[in-house]
Amino acid sequence: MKEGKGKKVVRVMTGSEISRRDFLRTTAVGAAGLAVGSLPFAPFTYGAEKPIRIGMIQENTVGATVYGLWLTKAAKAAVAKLNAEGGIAGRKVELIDYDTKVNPAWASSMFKKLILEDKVDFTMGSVHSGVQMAVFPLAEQYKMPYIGGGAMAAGLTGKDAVAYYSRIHTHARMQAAAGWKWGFANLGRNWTFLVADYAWGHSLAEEFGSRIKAAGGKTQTILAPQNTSDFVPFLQKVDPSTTVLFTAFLGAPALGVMRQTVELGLHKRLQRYTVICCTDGVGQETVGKESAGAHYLSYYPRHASQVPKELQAYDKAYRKAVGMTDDGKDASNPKNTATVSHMWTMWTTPYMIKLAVEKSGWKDSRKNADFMTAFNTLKVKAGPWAPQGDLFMRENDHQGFHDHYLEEVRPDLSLKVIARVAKEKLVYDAPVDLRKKL
Amino acid sequence: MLLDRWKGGAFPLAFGLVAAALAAVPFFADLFLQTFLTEILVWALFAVSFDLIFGYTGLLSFGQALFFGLGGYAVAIPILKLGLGTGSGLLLSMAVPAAFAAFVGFFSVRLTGIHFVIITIIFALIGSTVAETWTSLTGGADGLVFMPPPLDLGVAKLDLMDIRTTYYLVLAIVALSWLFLRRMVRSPLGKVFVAIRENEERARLIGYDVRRYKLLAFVIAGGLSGLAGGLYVLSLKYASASFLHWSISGHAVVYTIVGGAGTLLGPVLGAVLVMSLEHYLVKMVEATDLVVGAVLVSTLLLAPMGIVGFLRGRSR
Repeated sequence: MKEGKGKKVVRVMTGSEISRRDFLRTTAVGAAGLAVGSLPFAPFTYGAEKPIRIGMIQENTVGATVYGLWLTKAAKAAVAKLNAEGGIAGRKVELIDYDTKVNPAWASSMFKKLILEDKVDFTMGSVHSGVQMAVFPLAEQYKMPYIGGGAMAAGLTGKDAVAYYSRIHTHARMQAAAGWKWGFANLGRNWTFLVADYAWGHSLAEEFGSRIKAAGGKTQTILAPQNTSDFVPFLQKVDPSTTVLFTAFLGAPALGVMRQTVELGLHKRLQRYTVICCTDGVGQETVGKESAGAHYLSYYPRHASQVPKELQAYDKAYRKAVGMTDDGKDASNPKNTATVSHMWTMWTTPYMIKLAVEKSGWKDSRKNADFMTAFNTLKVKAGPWAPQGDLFMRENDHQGFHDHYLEEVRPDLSLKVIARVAKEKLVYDAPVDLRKKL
Repeated sequence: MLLDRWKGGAFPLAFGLVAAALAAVPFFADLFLQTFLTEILVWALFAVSFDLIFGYTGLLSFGQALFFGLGGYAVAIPILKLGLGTGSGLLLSMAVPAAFAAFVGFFSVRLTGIHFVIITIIFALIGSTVAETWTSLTGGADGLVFMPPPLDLGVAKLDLMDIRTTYYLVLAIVALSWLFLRRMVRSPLGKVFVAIRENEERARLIGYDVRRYKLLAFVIAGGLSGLAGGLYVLSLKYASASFLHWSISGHAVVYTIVGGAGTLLGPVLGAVLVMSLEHYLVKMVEATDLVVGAVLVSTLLLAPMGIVGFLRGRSR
């Protein structure tokens, strides 16, 4: 190599000589090549547009942790899938989530943080009705689309519903519509409701009870504090003529009332019936072998084998994506049970956001009203994003409708689907018209 | 040194500077900071009202949540169900909890020590149970959502849907309440409260009707706790039975202990420190309660008199 004037020579170990310029050029080209080679192949070109941010609130600590864990898993898996498929309208999707601590006041702070500090575009989540109610004024104030994630109080989409809130899943009134008739015809005409003494329990007793009475049945309602551990005094009040014992508690009391019903031998003369909310995320083995024979109203079959045939392919892919086994257990730790009937909401919601963005031509918050209109007129077909089956939204009250299931606990403690209730049978008169409020 | 100056007459200047700085916040801070400061101010007022009975009168009450929650409902229910204005709601948020505090205090201040603690918890539990089950009035655990009408001050109407307006309203009320309490604890009445805290028996022997003074402190603290609850609910536009749960009282206890009981300034600093930690660590640590617990334990071990007590000790 020719040595020019002023050129410094780098002597390399091979003994040959190269100029500093050559060395730098070669190094730069090599480094650039390595850098390009190390870049992941992006599934799509994100372009210059900023990502779409979805804010989520979930119950990750304190009570209802199992719900927060699984609904968050489903949401993260959904966002990963969305991004792998090109994002929303060509924009990458980001998920920012905060814990509600099952505390409406804290949740409200976190919701404000999502809107004002993290500047999210859409919000979703929470299985707690009180938490959702607490953030309603913020959703309205900032015209922030908020899609609920599992809370069952009928009033959330009732006469006091707010325009920027939508719920894609069931609630107490719909559950009564889905479950009372089957129970009345197959389990018995005399019902006792032993329910938690707060809004959710009252709501279930009222919704089921009024239908039972209207059909000529007999009802008795016993209220017990939500944190009750000793149910014996309450179970002793159960009318001897009762044929169906309907219970509604959450967390440990839900298991407590089931166990103590068995301990008192009531399960031998009564049919036990409840909504799956009481034990979603809890394996029947935790309740005990005496749980065999109990009936649940559910919103997604726990076991893959019980999923309707036409949905099984979608269900299989969905379970794999969220890390859930065919028996509704955690794929990484089969001791844990997933909240199968609730978590699909956080899988389907991000996709519905995508559909509504594309349908409304949404680009930023100036078109949030159009987004809401688009979202609440969606008709989602069963598919990879809707493993639970077809789902449709009603524009009047922003309420979604989907199929329900009646499941029975078998002697091997698995849940067998014994009836499927079509969503069309669950449609009721909209209690509010939000169409002009957007 | 600084604290001595504070005592020695620099207070009006320092207070004016802090108030001016807080008043200037909306001109340079984003909406999130304004809304976050609003929250801090509300909880600081709750903690300061607790300081009056705990730090100055020596009564450890875990029942303040009852008055906080009642204050919230005293704003929400009249607006939502009776069509009353926001101003009336705010007045009721002091009057109703103060009346309840008179009732609860009538029974509670007869007791001392752990018995007083327990009876205040019991009253708070009764209150939250009633609020949870009387759903037609309170909305129970789901709560009540309402939109406050503009606050009519005669010369102007304040729109409380506006973050900046709400911030200024809360700042003004909290500042006035703090000044009111400062004046009170420095008055002869405040000295009687301290005398009761230091030696109840001696206070009684020199002729003070200890029970009446304790009841008075309890009622004033109850009224101010209610006002804090009313402001909180106005800022959230939401009231809930969960605000009456006795564990809400824990906020006031933690902020006061961390900041320094019997100082009025301490609870404010405690609220600023703990709430800032919670909010700014939430992206790194999910279980922010553990951080608060660690701060509380550290304070109890390293500075049992709280931040203000620690600073005072060093300045001496």
